[in-house]
Amino acid sequence: MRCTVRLAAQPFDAAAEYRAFEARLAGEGAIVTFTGAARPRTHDGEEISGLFLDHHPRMTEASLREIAENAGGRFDVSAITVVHRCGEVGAGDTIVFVAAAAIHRRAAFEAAEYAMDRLKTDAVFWKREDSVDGSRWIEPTLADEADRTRWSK
Amino acid sequence: MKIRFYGRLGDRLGQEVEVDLPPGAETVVELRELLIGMFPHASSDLRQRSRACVADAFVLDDHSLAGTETVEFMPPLSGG
Repeated sequence: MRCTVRLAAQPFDAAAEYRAFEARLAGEGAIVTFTGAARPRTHDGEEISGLFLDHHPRMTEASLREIAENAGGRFDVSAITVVHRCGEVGAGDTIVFVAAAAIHRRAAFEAAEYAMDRLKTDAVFWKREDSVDGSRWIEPTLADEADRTRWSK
Repeated sequence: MKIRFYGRLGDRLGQEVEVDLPPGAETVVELRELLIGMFPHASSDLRQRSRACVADAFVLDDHSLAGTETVEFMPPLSGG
């Protein structure tokens, strides 16, 4: 299983990440990708000027690797990649890109979904929404926790 | 001893402070009490809503800090 992770301090292009991932494959029949972008508004509809993703100098990248390796090992995928932004993120910018490749689609879908559910709650980041009215630190929602917990079964 | 804060704690308290544990104190919970005395406005975050970390591993409140140079405090994570 080929596993690549990258903590990106600068904006990245999800399409370019996809092409790089695809170029390393060896004839897998199924590729699933997920791209997460910074929403321009809060849950309350307030306009967001940007996000700040605080991170840890070592534990953040280690957590990305642990999550990606677990996703790859748990399902029958042959390659997985996770790219995650840190630092100042503009509204609309890509925050996270996940790709999983497998012989058949089910494993690729599940590995990508598992990776995303765990990234929301277990990746070592702290996310702050900045708007004209101030800043707010975001914590995992009950729905995020429930999404994470269902993989414990 | 260096204390590092992340996320909301880093915003409120600064990213790094230097403290000396009082004589006889050596556990994480005693460090929390010292920090709460320094930063009473962040007491709930410091007491319950943050995990302590030593040498890149989470530690429990009874963990001994004897000989520890750096302790990090982390609020709940939010990635993705």
